[in-house]
Amino acid sequence: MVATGTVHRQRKAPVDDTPDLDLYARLAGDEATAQAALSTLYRRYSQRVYTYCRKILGDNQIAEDLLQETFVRLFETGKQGRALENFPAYLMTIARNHCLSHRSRSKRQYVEVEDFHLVYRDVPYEQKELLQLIQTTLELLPDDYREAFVLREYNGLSYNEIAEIIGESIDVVKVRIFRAKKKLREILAPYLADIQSKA
Amino acid sequence: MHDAPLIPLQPDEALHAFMDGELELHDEQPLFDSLAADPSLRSEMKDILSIRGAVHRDVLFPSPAVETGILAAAGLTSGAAVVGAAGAAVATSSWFAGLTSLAYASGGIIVGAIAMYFAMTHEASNTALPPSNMASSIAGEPQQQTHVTVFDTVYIRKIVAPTPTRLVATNMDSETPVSETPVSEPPIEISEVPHSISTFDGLYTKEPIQTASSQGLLYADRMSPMSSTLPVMLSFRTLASGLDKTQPTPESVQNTFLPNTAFSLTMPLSEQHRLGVEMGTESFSQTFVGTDGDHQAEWSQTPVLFWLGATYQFTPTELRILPGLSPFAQATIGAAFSQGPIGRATIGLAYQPIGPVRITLGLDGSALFYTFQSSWFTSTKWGLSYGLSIDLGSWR
Repeated sequence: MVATGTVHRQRKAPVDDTPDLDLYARLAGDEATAQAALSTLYRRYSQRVYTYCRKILGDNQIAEDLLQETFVRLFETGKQGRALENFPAYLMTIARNHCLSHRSRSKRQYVEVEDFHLVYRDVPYEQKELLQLIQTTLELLPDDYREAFVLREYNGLSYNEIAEIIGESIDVVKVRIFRAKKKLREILAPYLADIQSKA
Repeated sequence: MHDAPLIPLQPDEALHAFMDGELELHDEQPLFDSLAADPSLRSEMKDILSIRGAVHRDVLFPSPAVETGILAAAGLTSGAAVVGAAGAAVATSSWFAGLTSLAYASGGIIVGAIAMYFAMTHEASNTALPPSNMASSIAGEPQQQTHVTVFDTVYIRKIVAPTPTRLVATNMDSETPVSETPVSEPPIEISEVPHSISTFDGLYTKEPIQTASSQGLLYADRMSPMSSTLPVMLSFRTLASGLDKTQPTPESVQNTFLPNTAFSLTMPLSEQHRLGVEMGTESFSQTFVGTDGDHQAEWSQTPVLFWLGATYQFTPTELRILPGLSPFAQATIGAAFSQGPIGRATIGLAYQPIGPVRITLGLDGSALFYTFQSSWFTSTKWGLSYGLSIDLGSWR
């Protein structure tokens, strides 16, 4: 009883190369223009914002709620015609503020691991196991280290961008990322040695 | 590190910075020298690569409903689209997920209440028509009119006691009029009734009364659905899960109360046909593709969906295999909350040996249609379905 998915119509959407800031400016336009701009920005950045929220808070539902709040907030500021210089950093700052706000409201400690709700296909079993271990290990890291690691490794941001988002110096960012990776490696070392010997 | 560090970098610091693309050019050669000389540093580099490789495979995507929820919250959709999007937004919220079971139960109560109301009002329309005294008796008031006036339509219902010696007939409220002339409720003589009556039988019938034994049928088989005071069948059944048994059960399924189950309430159209409403919670493995940013991506998920629809049942009694055992077919068309239309079909066997309880076993197939980024996708599954029904119409 295996479910099958069938693609009836697979349309390759044309790549919209409109700059982020132009799209952001269109949020202040008429409804159709704003909707198209918001949808494009969502498709560009939703995965990044969602991953950040998901990894920081460890909860799929809350991450989706905060993703929604982030883009609604983005739309509101865009509608006001606020000028920006760095769109990705601004968007991630909104997401970060929502996450911090949520975390301060909730005393809950998130220890949930991957819930299989949205997992990428064709991930070998060993990789899934490693992903779960990494997720669990991330939960053990101090919040600051985890955030820096997620922004660097999951979101692919540079030290400079991370520093702008979290409001710290580049040296602080560098130290946090370094220590986060060191800690991850320390915890995962036996497992990594095992899979490397198998390889 | 855009500024030259005041303190010389340690080899492992340089390694991490290099792998992040943040190492200054003048620090690279010392790092390469260290790598060549230090096996532990090379090992650390391998570990970092392993972690990074795993992390880069850990691609997470939000559910498609979030985008519509955002557009709705931003007021960028209108009319029915807003309602649908708002529903989708609500469906994705955490508090709603926690209340799914409660909503499910509440929905059942509401649907049940509507069906009950319909059944009761249907019955009331029969009673209200000819004898005004019945209406008053239903209301609990004393019966004022004790005789039938001229040209009143009189309905006869024969009530047959379990034994022939207690056979009586009374003026009641069902079936077709037998006379439009003055009638004074003549008692039915025992001689009018076939002598073969020996068991509890003949409820609401105007046909020559036959016994169960004479027909070779069980009680439940002979019940005329249309004659019931409350012709509603309440059913519960399991549905095909569509899950790959070799894979771990998704947490979304584990966290759902009664996943892959459905409840239905049906009314008879005739002895062989029933129509009603059905709702359920059901997991569908979905795989769909789209664009994420500027590249193609494929998503896979197994959400548990709540759906509601109209259901039709067909039970060909002429194909009865054994007493109480009949084949049946059922089709349901509805909509899954925040997803799209859903259709399912079931064929199997229904066994109702005695009384109101009916057991079903069937082959169940279903299909979910949903959209993502303006493209339509389907998710299909099939499997066994087990069910239990209570025919309230035959419960008296």
